[in-house]
Amino acid sequence: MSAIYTTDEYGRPFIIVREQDKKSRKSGIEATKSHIMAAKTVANIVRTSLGPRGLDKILISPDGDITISNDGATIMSQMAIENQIGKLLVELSKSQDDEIGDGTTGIVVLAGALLEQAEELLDRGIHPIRISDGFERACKIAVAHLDKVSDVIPWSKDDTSDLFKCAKTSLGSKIVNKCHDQFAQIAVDAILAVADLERKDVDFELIKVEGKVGGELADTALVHGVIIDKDFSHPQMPKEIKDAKIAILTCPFEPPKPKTKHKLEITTVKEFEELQKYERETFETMVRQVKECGANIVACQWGFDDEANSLLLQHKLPAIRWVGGPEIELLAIATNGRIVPRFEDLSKEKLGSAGTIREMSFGTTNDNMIVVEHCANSKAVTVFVRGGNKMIVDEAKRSLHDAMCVVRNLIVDNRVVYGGAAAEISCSIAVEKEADQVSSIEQYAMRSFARALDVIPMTLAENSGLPPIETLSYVKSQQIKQGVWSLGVDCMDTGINDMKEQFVFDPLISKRQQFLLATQLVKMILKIDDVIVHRNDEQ
Amino acid sequence: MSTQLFNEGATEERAENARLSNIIGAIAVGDLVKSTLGPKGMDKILQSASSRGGDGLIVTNDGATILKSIPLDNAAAKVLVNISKVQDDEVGDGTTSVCVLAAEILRQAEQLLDQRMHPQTIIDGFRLATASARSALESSAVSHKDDEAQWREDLLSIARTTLSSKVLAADKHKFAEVCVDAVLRLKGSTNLDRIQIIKKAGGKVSDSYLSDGFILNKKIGVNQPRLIKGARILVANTPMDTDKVKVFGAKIKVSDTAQLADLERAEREKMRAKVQKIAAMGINVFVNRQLIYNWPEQLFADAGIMAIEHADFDGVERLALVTGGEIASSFDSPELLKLGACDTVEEIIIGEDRMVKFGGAAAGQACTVVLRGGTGQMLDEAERSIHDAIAVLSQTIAEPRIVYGGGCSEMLMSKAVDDAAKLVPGKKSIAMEAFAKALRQMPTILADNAGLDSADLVARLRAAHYDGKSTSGLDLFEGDVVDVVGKVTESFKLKRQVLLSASEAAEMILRVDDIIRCAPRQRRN
Repeated sequence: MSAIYTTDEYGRPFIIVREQDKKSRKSGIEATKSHIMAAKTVANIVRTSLGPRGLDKILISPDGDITISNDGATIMSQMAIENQIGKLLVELSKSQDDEIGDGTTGIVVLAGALLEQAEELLDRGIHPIRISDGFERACKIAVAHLDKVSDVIPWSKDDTSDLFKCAKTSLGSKIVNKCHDQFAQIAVDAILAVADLERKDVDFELIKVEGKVGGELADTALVHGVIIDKDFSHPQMPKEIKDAKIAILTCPFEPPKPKTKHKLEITTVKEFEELQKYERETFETMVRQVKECGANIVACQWGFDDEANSLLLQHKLPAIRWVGGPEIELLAIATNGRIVPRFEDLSKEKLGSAGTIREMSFGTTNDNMIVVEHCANSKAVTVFVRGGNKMIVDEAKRSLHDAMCVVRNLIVDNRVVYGGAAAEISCSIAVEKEADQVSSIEQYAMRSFARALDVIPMTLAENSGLPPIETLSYVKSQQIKQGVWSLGVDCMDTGINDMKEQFVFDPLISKRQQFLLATQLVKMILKIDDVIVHRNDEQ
Repeated sequence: MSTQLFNEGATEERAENARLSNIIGAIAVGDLVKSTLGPKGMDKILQSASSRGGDGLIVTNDGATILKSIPLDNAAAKVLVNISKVQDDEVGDGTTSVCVLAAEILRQAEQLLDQRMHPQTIIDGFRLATASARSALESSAVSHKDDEAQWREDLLSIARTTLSSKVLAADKHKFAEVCVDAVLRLKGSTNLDRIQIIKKAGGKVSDSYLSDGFILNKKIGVNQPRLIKGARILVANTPMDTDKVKVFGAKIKVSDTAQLADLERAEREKMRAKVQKIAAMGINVFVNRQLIYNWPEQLFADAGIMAIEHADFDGVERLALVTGGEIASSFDSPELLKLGACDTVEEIIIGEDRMVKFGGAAAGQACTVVLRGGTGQMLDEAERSIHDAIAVLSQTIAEPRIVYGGGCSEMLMSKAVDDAAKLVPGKKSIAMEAFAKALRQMPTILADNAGLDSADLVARLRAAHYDGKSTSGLDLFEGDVVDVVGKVTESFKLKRQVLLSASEAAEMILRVDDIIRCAPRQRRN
């Protein structure tokens, strides 16, 4: 029998792991080091995506589909990582994505840098727990310092210029920086349109991002209304309706279908005829009810019977069928209509209203979409993304989402820190300073934390083609000498390294979250000292 | 110490390797289709792996069709295939040009990368270049929509340009007329489903024609009139086999055969009533999307009505458009129903098949092109060519501006980019010059494909442009630089889309520095 075992004080074997050929075990420093190795490898992959001059990655799925992206969370989640520690990093960037929506690359790079530093400390013989304690203390200092260096940016519904600049910072690293201003403006406008300023809350459900290949990125537009990827149910219905009164239905134009199980038996000719009469009348009643409540267009979640469809056409009622659940809700919100589950419940008040509803057609393949504009309620918007190929449209959608998240974060909390790694550098200085005052062994770990923070500006400089060490030491000395915390790495080669003047802002909460989450994860990885992997039987 | 990070079978390519693999992939795709470019381009035979027989065989000159059919494994190559597909959906033609241009841009970028230029700097230069190329293209575009004769001449010229690189080149004048007439009948709609193309093997290609009426590839019912003048047509989508009870859960249950017979009779009566209702509308032609069973067919025959069954979705929709009728599914309120009308409905024979022709239609917003040709492959390719031409024309009607072809617009843009590059400080200007060079590759390829001395011709073309003759282009039949106004015309929308898609794709590919390929999914048979 193969097993890992030790012996007790009487020399009797004591089995720890049974059937070793099916399991593998790593323990102690060896385990920690192998974890650090894996994490570093992952971080190295996304490292080159950081910053405005970062590059993209191609990800090929198991089915051969291609994703081209600059977004850390997207890259990480599609890499199909098998390693456990790698998976933790994927989770890390995902949680940053869920919570903040931006800074998903930065967090992975930071975690990787922290682990790299931890490795050196381990080599010096410092216990992993002491390292993680030191990181914890350093992180607290850094976060406190972030608060200190943060600035409040004033914004109001009329003056959104600062929000716009933050959105630009987020979009800077993406391919859409081709139409930088336009996309940033779309992100700001979309968020402000749906934001609840009193509660400081933004409901992302109200913003729909719809993409269609064709045209170019600059054709992307914000529509104050809803776009539904459907066409009118009958080819001969009018393609444009002005001053639409829309009935939003979730019941099919079909004979009623009771939900309880039932059986209807026809035994005589009379019954047969009556049933047919009933059927015809149902259709007529349905259409009449819709017509009577004053609607001039119908949106329905379900399908129509051919007969009903033809009746709708005869009664000059254009209709859209098979409208999906989320779309029908958006439509209801946008037009101030109510979703009506039964024909009997239709009434004038429940109708939605919109200025125009029109069918838009694209290209040569008879692709249509229905645009609902000038709605009663402006609180539902759609961003319509165009681009030359499928991959670019997808990437533009992701980038817009990130930018919108940044704007949302600022509405929730309008404090910002300066980008271009200015915040990281100043935190690094602060941590280093504090470290000298710590008498215990943790000061080593704290210094390492500071060095890990330095990796971010170095990576930025490297990706921008600047000499990393030189740039970092220059900026650092400038910050200390002048006491200005907004100096950072001048990635775009503009000659100014004050990020305040370059308008490179990041939301404070995003940066803080990066520090906290990365430290937390690193602590977790350092605490693992034993891994037992069950292999699959077939291997 | 090494740790396995990815799934087994996954691979990663980094930095230089990734870039190299992308650029090589893109250039390979560009080179693959480049020989089909232009009026003297060659065709390709595509044979699918599954069918070794004749039926899987395609002979084509159409970039999108070629690229669609090749299974590619390279990521960058897939991006190019995608832009070509988008070009096909968006404009209908220029599918080869867009791939070739993107590949040429990347070929130039590769040299810059070799000189250790940062990809982002190259991209910045390319963006400036695209912007100046675009504005040059826009300012050179003209529209003659107000002048009817000139407008038609433009459309014909665009159609000829598109067709000249296809199999129909020999009869391009004839087919250009056919396409322009067909598109003008749509009255501005871009819905190409309204133009039906009927392919019939046999006869010569030049026997093809645009029918003055609308042809439905269906048969008329038994014992019904074969020719109707002054037709009043009802276009319907309704079951004419048995009218099922639609109420859910309904089921017929009888206890004896007499009852069954009664019910059967009731069913027949219902159908008779339906036919009578339809007949009472005063129609003499009835076209249904669904089946018509023998019994109602016979009833229609008795009423002297021509009934056509099983006209599919497109057929019914087109017919409704042609005759101006509405597609009906309920017949209880005839006063609300709009009937279609046309002068004659008759059975005609094309080749060996019988079809129904609707002549002298009221609305006439759909039409039929009948294609004849020697072989199936020939017909298929002819159809693709016609489709491309029609697509471009319909887009031109929506966006009436035109530009000049024969390498003229490319040279124009290249000149504009070169001029702009001189004013840009820094490394970006080198990238702009490279972009201009990529644009100049297009006329070079055109000339090469025609077997001409490209170096000489393109140099002369460039000289002509710098000499202020901004409408000079290549005449590939004469092998000379000429003024192409009125000779080779192309749609502005097409050229713009080619430029923008190609540069967007090139930019996207250049930005990549890492390729991660997941392990292919295991397929079980």
